[in-house]
Amino acid sequence: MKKFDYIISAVAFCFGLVIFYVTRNVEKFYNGTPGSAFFPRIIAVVMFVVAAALAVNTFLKRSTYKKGEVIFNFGSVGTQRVLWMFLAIILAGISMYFFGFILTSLWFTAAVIFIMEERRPLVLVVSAILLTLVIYVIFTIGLQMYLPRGRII
Amino acid sequence: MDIFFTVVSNLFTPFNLFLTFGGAFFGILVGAMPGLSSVMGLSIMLPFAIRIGGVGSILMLLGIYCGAVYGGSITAILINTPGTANSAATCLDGHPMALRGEAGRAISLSTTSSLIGGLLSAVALLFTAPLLSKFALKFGPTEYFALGIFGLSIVTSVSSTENVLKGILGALLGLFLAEIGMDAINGLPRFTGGSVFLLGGINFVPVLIGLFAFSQGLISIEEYNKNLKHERTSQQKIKGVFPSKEDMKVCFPTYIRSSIIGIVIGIIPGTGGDIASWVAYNEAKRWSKHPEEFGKGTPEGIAAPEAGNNAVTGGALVPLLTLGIPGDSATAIMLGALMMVGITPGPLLFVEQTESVYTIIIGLFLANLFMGLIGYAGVRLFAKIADVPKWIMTPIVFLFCIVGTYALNHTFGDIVVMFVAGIAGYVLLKLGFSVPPIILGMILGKTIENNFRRAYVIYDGDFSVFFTRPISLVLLIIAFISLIYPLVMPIILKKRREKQVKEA
Repeated sequence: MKKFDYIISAVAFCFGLVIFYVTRNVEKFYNGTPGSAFFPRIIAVVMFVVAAALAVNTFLKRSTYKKGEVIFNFGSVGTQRVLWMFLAIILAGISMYFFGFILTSLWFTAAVIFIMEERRPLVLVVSAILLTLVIYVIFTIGLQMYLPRGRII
Repeated sequence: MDIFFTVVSNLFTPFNLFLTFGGAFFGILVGAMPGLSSVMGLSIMLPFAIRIGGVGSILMLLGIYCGAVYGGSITAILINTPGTANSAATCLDGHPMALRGEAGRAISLSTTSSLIGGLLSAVALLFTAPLLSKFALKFGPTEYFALGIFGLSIVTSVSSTENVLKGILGALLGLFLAEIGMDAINGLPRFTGGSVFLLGGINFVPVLIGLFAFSQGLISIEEYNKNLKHERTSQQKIKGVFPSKEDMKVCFPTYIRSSIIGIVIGIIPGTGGDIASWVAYNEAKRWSKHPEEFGKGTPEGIAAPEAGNNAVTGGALVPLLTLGIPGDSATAIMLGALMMVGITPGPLLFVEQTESVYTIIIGLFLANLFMGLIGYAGVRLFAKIADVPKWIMTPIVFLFCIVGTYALNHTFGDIVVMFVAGIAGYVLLKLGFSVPPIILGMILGKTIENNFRRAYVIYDGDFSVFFTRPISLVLLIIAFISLIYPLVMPIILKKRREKQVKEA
């Protein structure tokens, strides 16, 4: 799985280039002292060096990955669960923006439990309601804190 | 003497006592739950601590820190699964003792060792921190710059054992994230893309929660196995939660030796409780008259790792409070918390905020005492924690992450940052990156840059000043060696082996 190390090296190199590009019009020196672009450019230069070192290191077969090790096995149940979680997180973000925490928490909790292969409907519903209620009681009533509010609700 | 009374009156308010007690209780719960770590517990509670503000918030975090380090031993003993990495060595003798029907004895040994380790580390902190801070008062911008680089490189090299280059890339990413927002020196926006939200910079707390807690939740989901059953002894009735005189007598030298090991390891930036517990265990075995009994449920095999890992708590606070350099991930979170509540760690802390710093140090004694008290009294309750299914705990972690992030500034943008950091953290962990350098880069980024620029102005643009001032030079040399050593050493070893083979 050395290819991931090459990809990381390439991404880091491009990231350094982006820093240089974005700071092209920013002052490198300001009244004889380092300006706003000075330190970011140092970071970019070090990034170039480390990216190159990583590529060379990988080429010299000193990769961190063991032979045959699979980093992202999209066919495995575990990775598929995480991919479903990614989707749930994106939807939770959208849902929270419009409908606030309480409604989002109800379905998001049920979704997480469902993704973790607990499929009994009663358990899903009761857990979602109870956990949301506990959070509400602790934070809103107990600690007098605000929970995220949505645009609509 | 005046300072003593002021500190005591600051510390012994009902609210501060409640926060310390609550922190220790929560910490033990977190530690006892396999899959939740002290770092995760601290990350989740950080925003609430910041909202509370003042020294009380730090006392709460100290309670969580001490409690979580100890809590990990409960499941290590009962189900042979360490609640945190700090207690992995405790499994070796703790679980065999529990299997013999002496779970209560094993937990009592672990509680007593943790208590003694924690208290001795607090004593060490009380006496060493002021001395070190006096020395650090000589520091100027060049030394602070070098110190920032030193802390970052030590944490990078120790936490990225598999590939130090990825650790450096992580640290650079953290430094870059710290650059986003308004430039503190000339007020120009950097990397904001015109966004008003980014103008104030990226708050490190949502990133920290995402990287440390949310990403771990995702990993828990990936690794979750519904059919996995532990070899349970948690149903076993726990009797005798206090250690016997014989056990105390046998373990006394181990308590002292392991505590010293833990304190010293804690002081070295980048190390942590896991290293301390293994070193303490090995040393206890080496010094023992019956090393053959180790691994079969010997009391010293429990006392050593537990005293060692809890002694790290005070040790790690020494560089944090005196130099502003965190000793491990947990103290990196503390560093953030201290800064957010207006307590700036560093040598000046002992001069400018004497009351606050001594309240924190004495608070560590209190946190350890509460940890011991809760440990002895609530061991039967905590033994049940391991029975809580993971499918209940994981959504709770996610919900706490969301609520905690929002509690900070009440902005939806922070939640988005936390989500992005959580997903990015999961991917980075899978790719072999380690998280502490990223967070430390974010926290130390401004210190490093501002002191670099200050030194440049003070010494008329003479870069050589970083290498001509002795303290700065020494710190930079150590930083350089710590980063180069993991890269060069395998090559040297390989060449040496090849030479030996040729000679043979």
